[in-house]
Amino acid sequence: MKLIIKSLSLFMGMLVAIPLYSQNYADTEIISIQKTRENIIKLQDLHLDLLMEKDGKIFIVAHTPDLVKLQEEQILYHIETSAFPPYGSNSAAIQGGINGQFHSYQEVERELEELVQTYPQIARLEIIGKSLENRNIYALKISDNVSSEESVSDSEPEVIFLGCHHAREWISVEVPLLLGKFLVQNYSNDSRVQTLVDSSETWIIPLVNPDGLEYSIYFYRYWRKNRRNNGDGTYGVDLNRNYGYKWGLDERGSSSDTQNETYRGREPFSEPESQAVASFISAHDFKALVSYHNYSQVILYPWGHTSEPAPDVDLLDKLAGDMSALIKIVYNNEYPFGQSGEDLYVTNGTTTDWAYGTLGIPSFLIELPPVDFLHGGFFNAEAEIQTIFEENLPAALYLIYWAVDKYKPETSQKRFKKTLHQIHNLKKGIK
Amino acid sequence: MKPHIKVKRISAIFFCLLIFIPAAISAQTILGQYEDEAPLRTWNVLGVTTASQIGMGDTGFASVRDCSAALVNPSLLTKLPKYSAVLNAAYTMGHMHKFSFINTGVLLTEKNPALGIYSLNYFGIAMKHKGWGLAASTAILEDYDRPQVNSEIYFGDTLYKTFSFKQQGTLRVFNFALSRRINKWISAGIGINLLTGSFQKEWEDEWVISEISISDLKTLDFSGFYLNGGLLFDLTDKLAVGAVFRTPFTKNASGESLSENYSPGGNTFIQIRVNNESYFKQPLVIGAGVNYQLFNDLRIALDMSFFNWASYKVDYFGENWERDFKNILKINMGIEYESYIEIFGHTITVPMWLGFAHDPQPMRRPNSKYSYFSLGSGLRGKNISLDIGSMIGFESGSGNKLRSQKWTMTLGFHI
Repeated sequence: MKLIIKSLSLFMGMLVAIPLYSQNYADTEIISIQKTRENIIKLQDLHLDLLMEKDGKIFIVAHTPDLVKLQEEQILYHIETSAFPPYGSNSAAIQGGINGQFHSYQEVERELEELVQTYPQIARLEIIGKSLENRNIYALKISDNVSSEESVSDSEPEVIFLGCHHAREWISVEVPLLLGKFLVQNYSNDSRVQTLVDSSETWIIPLVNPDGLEYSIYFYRYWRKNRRNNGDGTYGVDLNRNYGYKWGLDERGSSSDTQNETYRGREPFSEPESQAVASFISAHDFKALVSYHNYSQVILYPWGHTSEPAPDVDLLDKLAGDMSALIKIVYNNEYPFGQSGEDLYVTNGTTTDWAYGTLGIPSFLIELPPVDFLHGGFFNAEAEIQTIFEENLPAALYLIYWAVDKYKPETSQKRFKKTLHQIHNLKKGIK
Repeated sequence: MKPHIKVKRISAIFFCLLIFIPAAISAQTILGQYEDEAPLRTWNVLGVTTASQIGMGDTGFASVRDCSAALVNPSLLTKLPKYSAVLNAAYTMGHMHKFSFINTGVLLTEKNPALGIYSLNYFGIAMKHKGWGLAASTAILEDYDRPQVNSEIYFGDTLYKTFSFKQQGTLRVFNFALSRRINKWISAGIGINLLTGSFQKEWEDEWVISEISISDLKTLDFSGFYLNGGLLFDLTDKLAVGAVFRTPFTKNASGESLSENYSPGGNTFIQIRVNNESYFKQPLVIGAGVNYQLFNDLRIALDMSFFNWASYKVDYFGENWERDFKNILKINMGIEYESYIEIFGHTITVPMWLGFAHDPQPMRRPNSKYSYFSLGSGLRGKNISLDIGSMIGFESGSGNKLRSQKWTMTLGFHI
């Protein structure tokens, strides 16, 4: 009983802490509050825009200042925006292309350029390389003094988020891209985001495989690899089997068969896309890495090439567990976590094994929803983009915070340390 | 167990369309990457070619003698009989290697798939009065069909997955042309061309056991407008020179894209439906041709046409698509020999044609070009004529040794 109460109180505490990071993305959110006598009395003075009552909950249309008021009043709320999809969201694409609200290469390019133009003080765009078909591979840097390398001058830790190694995993473009938007758009109105951005250097490469994505959008939705002409009538190298650590270790973790979906390429880093990412990462001093994929809804950490545990397995497991707990808090979706080679399937030549094995970067592969092939596989509904991002946002922020706390502790705040502690305990409670 | 794929059918789709809904005309295949909008057989399409033109290597700028001149060089309408009408039927066949996801990574074929289309691709009427020429025509300018694909993947004897692909489309034109004989030596003509047409591409993947399917459907409805025109200089009794142009124009397309994922086992149905505009900025074409009567029964023709493909632009569902195209100079030449026979007391003219065409394609990679060889013949009475012409093309540059053919039969009436 004590444990339940403790967990519940921690959970409630987290609900206060976490939604702040999930709601600021949009100006307006629909939230729900439990209809209790105590809450009704508190709400009466807040003059909020009540939407409806249902199943013992009060639904409210809340703007950012309203949410601040609710937090000040210690009123727990849950974000329900995703349960109210905007009218026609499935038919009128914001981006306008045939992939609806998912981004194509050109849309990613436009979005990134627009972010940098709008927030030049904290956002900078770099072209880190070209794809086989000569498309740019972009990296978005978010930090204060964004044009200077403060990772060197001011020991600000660098964290990197990668998307779309695999062409058909469209949602893996959206989550890092939305993370970038969230950080820059909330920098000026949220002191915690500001602290985070000021004390770290976050890099986002939302689209590692632009050629493959275009092919997936315009020709065959289930295309996975890049667009390498293998010279034997087959096309494509699996970019997430082309990295140079334990590359081609065995035929289970990747394939030497050119028509196989996990064809690893002629040699390590044979592909310009993986070369570009690896060169970029090697030239920096990243303290943490996340590579988004889908589907499965899991968090995996090295090693992938073996079931033997990594030297830092305790740290990797703790970080993955914390992220999993944070994800669960948002919409109660379970993201099991564990060692890649043990939990899902053996892989070699992957981004995460390379980044950890070669550079010692704590690296995570997050398989975004859905949970299985029956529930859509590589397909996500347009309406899910926002919710999947929202549930992954606290985990992404947490990882940045963790890096700041570990490598630049003087700038991390007591509140943040407390949050970490809470998360750790919460994870125990969930277990 | 490793799956094996049986490509059950890669077959041509055949069309027989009604007189006023003519179908495909010249063409080529996709040799560059991904181009869905490539017309079958060749990118370089200017007007429509009847059997005599085909027989003479697709020439016609100074030499067409039927009302299809309205689409090529309307000034030639002043050379026609007082009243004339033409109906043209064609069989067009094109080999193609890469198209959509065929031979670009998803499905691999052992040989070049081929597509053949039968069609009534042109009907026109023309009249001439006091130095004025007038014509109304309808034709199919471009055809976007591709070989249909149905494939099945088996694990052992169990059907595991099916895959189907279909693409169809045409671009039709309605042409109204006017010409005027300005003096003994010069005629001028202009045509107004209204475009219509459609495009549909669909594919479906189905995992048979789980009944999961993913599908994609794209449709476009075309519209547009352009002018064509030309001059004819009758320099001597034997020598005529023609000059032609087609204005650059925008082929507009209102489109719908529907992408679906259906999984009954997971109670999942995901749909992405988008309506958006597309456009294809077609190039300016200018050309010049010569028609020279060597002897009473022998004449030669030579055409050169310039296609400004470097200006070609595509915006597909709001996205700008790169097309690395270069300008093209197309050369056509032909020779005609006329003989005569008597049938039931009537003298019938029997023309015989030979021709050659050099038809480079606009994409830079691969640097592909066709060499066409043509021949044809006809029977021409006082008021009626029947011509047959054919062209066989050999492609080089892509490494895929594509072939193409065009056979046409033209029935003409004139008073």
